[in-house]
Amino acid sequence: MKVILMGNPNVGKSVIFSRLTGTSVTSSNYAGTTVEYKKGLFKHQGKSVELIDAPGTYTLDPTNKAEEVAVEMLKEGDLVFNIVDATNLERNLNLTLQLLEQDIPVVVLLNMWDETHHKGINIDLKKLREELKVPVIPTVATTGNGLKQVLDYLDYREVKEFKKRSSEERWVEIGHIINDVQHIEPKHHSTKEIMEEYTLKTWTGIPIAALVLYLTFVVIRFIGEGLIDYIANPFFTGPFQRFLMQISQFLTEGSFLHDLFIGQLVNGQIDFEQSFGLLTTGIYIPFAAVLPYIVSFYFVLSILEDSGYLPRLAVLVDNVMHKVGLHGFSIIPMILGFGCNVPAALAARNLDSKREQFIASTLMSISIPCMAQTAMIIGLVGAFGGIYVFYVFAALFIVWIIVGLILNYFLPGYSSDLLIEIPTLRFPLLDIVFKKLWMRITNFLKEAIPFVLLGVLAVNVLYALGFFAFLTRIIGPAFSTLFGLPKEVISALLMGFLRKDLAMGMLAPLDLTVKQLVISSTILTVYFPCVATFIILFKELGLNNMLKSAGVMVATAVTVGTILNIGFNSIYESVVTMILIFIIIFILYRLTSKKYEQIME
Amino acid sequence: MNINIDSGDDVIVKAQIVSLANLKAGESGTVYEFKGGERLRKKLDSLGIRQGKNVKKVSDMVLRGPITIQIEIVHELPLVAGWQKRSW
Repeated sequence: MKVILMGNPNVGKSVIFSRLTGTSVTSSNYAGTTVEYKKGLFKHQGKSVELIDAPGTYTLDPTNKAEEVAVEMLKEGDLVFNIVDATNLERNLNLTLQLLEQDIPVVVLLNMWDETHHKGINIDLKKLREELKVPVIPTVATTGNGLKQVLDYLDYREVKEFKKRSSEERWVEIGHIINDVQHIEPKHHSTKEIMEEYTLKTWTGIPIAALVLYLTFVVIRFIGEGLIDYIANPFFTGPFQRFLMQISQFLTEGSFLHDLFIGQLVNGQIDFEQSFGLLTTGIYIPFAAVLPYIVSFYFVLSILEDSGYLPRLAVLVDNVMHKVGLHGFSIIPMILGFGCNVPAALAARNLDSKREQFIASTLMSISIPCMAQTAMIIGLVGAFGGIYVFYVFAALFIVWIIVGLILNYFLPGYSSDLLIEIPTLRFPLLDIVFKKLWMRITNFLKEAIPFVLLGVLAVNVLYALGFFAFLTRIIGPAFSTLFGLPKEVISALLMGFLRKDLAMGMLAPLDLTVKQLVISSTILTVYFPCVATFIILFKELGLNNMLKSAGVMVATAVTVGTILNIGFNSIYESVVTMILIFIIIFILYRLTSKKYEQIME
Repeated sequence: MNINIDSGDDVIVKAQIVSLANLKAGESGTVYEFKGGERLRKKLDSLGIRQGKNVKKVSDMVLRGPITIQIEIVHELPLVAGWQKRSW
């Protein structure tokens, strides 16, 4: 039998889903859409039950893609568990009444039942059952209270006749029900509520956001590096390396298969970062370099998600995001990008439109260095003084704004408005967080790893064919004139296609001046994403848009490199260049605002 | 048919129709009418924002950013944030 969980967003639907299902949970896209949903199987009294977690929806008269999917799913179900936020009964009943009008049995789960007492809300269950004519079960998803009772209703198949109503009539009916069953004792603002408001006000919200983001990065780095240093690296340089050396001897160095699977030996040994074989670097990059950060990133992200803070962050940054054609929620791929661009490129698919996905992916790949690269920039450029690190990031930020304004102006259409409900802040439940983490990681492994391997293979082939040497010869002269960089930097850039942090490392022995270092670090971030991100972009955007995106990246890299090289030779020149840059930003800003106003009219 | 703007203690100081954008943070009022497309109205309706509902403005974001409002459920008010350009 198929049971559909339906309810408004933020009513504890996912928690109930996790509590009811065991470990056999899969997450997938609904056919033909980018809307993700979860499906879980469990056995109850010998019968197997398929539980589907439909996307959160406010109404069956869909206002977006996710709601359309929810409505589609309804047709496939044998029974609906309608999850209702007991502390927000009025609005939730809107969906409930719409469900009751459908030709499907409905059981209402009155969730967050415990919180009604704290909030002075009294709901007369008996009367509510009489009004709705269906089973109403109070539940507390966080503790699992009431869920045993819910399972008793799995065989419930009664469909009550319910009058079809217009939206107006429905609200009138809801008004009657609420008057009848709900009684509220007025209470004063609690400290928590006052705190929650602070996160949304400009002058308190921004410092809070800065603190939250800072802590996020500290924790992510701590966990990520811990996993690399204590788990991934010991395994790879220990037993795995010994195993591969045996294969290496078997294949004999220099043979075609050896080059393909093991790659080049460095001082007679496998170097996971430089050998470039499918089994060496090809396995090392996704599993030892990227995966640990993915794990720690998703862990922290799940905590942020379940705490209810992310929508608040979206509200704070919506303003800036709108200028570049995105809306507040696009902050998520941007933040993710700072950890690793791969999950960021995957996360961009959750945005509302193809246009937003394109802008977000392009901006993210262009101007957001991943954690590994950031560490190398700080190490290498920072050695000359923190101000130079600041220059690199300031340049990247300006690039982000200018490219964003340009894309927003030239791409047809406009971005959707942010209209979201802001859930209350709460402590995340660790078991739910871990369950989510597990699902995300297995998903990542399935979706990303094969493509990363493919990418490494392609690079290997290109390298063997002498493509990179050819490229160096072709672009070398232009490189020196435009960017003022020696030819050797090109090989670092090509390396950057594989691993940006390693590419930064290759700059170290070149004796570059600090200016050259600033230029090359900036270009290295901008010019192209690493192979893993590149492949994901290809998969998510399609060939056509990916090429467009890559074109934007290369063009930006050339422009930025040239400006940095010729525009900042003396203080006088720097001031003029900065003024010119701000004039350009101002003009672009006016143009995009005008375009927006025209569209709105 | 006027909109009531209370200043905190349920005392009606003045009654006039203002756009949500011009309401000050901390003030509340009753939704009088929507300006904007049918899609927006539908979306707001599904969030429980409709004519006659009391709402309280929680905050404005600088530079015409999103507005956050609370919708009255007699006592507990869920927060909703929207983009100001589409004030209603």
